[in-house]
Amino acid sequence: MKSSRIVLLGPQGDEPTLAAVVRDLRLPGPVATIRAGWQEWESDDAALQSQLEGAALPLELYARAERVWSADPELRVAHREMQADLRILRNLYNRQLEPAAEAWMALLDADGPERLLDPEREAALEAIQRIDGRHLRTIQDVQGDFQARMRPLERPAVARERTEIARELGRAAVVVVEGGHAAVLYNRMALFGLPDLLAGKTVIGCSAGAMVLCRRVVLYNDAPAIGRGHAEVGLGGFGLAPGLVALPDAGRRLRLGDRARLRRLALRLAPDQCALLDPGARLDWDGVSWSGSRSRRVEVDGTVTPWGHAA
Amino acid sequence: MRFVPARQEQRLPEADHQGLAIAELVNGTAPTPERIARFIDEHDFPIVEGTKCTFVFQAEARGVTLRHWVYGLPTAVPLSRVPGTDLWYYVLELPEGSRVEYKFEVSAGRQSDWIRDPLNPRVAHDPFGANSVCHAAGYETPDWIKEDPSTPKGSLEERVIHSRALEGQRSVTLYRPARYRESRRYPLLVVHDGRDYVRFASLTTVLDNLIHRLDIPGLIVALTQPADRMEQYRDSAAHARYLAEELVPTLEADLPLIGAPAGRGLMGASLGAVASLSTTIRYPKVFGRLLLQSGSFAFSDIGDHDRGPVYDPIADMVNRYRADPFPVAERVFVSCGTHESLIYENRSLVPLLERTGMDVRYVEARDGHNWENWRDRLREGLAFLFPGPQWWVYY
Repeated sequence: MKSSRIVLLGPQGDEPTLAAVVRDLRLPGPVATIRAGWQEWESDDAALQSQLEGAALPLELYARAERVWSADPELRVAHREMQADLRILRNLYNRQLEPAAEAWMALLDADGPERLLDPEREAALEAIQRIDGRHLRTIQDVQGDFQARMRPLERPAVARERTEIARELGRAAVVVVEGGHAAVLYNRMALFGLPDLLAGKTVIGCSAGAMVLCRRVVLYNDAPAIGRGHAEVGLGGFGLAPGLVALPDAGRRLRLGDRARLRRLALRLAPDQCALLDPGARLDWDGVSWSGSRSRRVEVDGTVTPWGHAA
Repeated sequence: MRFVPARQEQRLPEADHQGLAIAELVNGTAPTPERIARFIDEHDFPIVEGTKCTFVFQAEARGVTLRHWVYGLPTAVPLSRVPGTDLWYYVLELPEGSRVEYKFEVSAGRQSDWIRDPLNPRVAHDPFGANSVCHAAGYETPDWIKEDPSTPKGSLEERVIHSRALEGQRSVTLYRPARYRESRRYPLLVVHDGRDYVRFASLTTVLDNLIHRLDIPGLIVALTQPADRMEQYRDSAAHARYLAEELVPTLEADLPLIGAPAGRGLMGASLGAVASLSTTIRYPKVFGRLLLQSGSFAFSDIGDHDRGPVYDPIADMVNRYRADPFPVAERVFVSCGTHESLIYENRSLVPLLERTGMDVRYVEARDGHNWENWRDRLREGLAFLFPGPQWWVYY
């Protein structure tokens, strides 16, 4: 599917910029909003309505999905089973990722002749990338199996809601995908086949909304309550925002002063670029290239630089 | 055992105190009152210099003793008087990250009083009063224990449960998370000595912060308080029945709770940890999550335990469980301070729990048998038992 334009923004809580961005786009009509990532709090959208001066057109994907689960218990059970499988897979992935990441870190810190160490370090990095890649493919296989078995878009409860969503989207040139729980957001958008309905729209992703628009949803937290905080490939995204991984709220969630840690992140996720989307940050995709404002990226040497214009 | 203070000597700082602020103050001669006043004004007390912590007290007294509760060290050590002054000091070496609660015992005339350190504003409260607190090098008060005006607050509600098991009414305080929704299903955490956790371990603030930071999911928390702690917490069948057959079903009938072992947690500290383990032994797998802090898990490998008759029912319970261990929950978090005498019992329990196949996480801290030790372990413990959506949620 082709979107005319993609805009990625940082968190909108403390420094909302959405209204200014929408004004800047100069596109008339209502703005469709997706807040499924907020789950039960989807309808608490007073701040968003206020920002958009009443022009928000809530698509209510979370509430619609709840209606679908009530009307189609077979689909609900199958979806729950898929989610249970994905939780098990995440656990299995982490069991492989943690030792691989620790081994790579140990090799990066090891002393010895570089001519011997470097190939080993590269091999350790490739091992992690292989684990990441395989996990992503396995997730997509599980999701693909669910789609093939259950054909959700052909089921009356989903089709009914999707028709209404399509009608609403027909009135809007701009779609805002807000933050919240990235997997819940992705799942609700996927359930109703949203990507195809977004064709030709300008899509603004904020925070988790930006993450799901990328090819990969990468989960990260450098100071978790439990564990060493190795970033995880959590899901495949919709791939509408090419060539980068969105890392919203990075100033709070990443140790930006730890260059070695950032370097590892950038090397591991290459060739995608690590885009840091802090409050006020903006990245625009015009179909050819990215341009940034107050956004930053992590270079492969671990430095953080202003985005400027991406290659 | 009654402590008899050693003869209070007038002493200059010793050779291994060289480089410490107290040694510089004294420098071979009695400092003037003005120098002492400046010294006190310029330092935070106790003075922490590397691993050395200098406790200082100023007053005319017959003797001054440092009273602390660090197991393995003498619990009472006399301070030395700087010759020719009313200044007393003691240098205690503490490993990095230690946190020590203490008091001074000041003897004047025929009287002897235990007082908090007048030079140290850090105070920790417990049901018996308050102690001064020494933060050794490397100890940091967690930021998630502080009240943050921008963090949405949960709510508290008092309820009364009629208990046939305990033959009377029992009150319970319910914590609901901020932004509570009837349409959600919440995990339930039952807390022994809940009101003490709130008063002395900032539990509601900790819950507000951990939930807001997504370290843990929104929880409904039942804060229980015993009518008779010594009766109910020492392996009481009636207490276990109250929790498992009355409190939990009543709450699950009335509140949007998950209602499965993975969504039920039970926790407590000291005897409260004993009551938690005892309940799960009597009702295995009702609570899938168990948090045990500094449990008073007396036991004996041979002959009698050495903790006195009060611990007999506990030792019987632990000995029975040691003889025939079985999984009582799915995940268990155990913590204990290395300054506690109970460290031996808690360390001994961990391999036993692990052998049953339960997922066990054990954490030690350089701290004592006190509420702030238990408070400081709550983030790791609760996040282990009930992992929050932090990895998935991006505002």
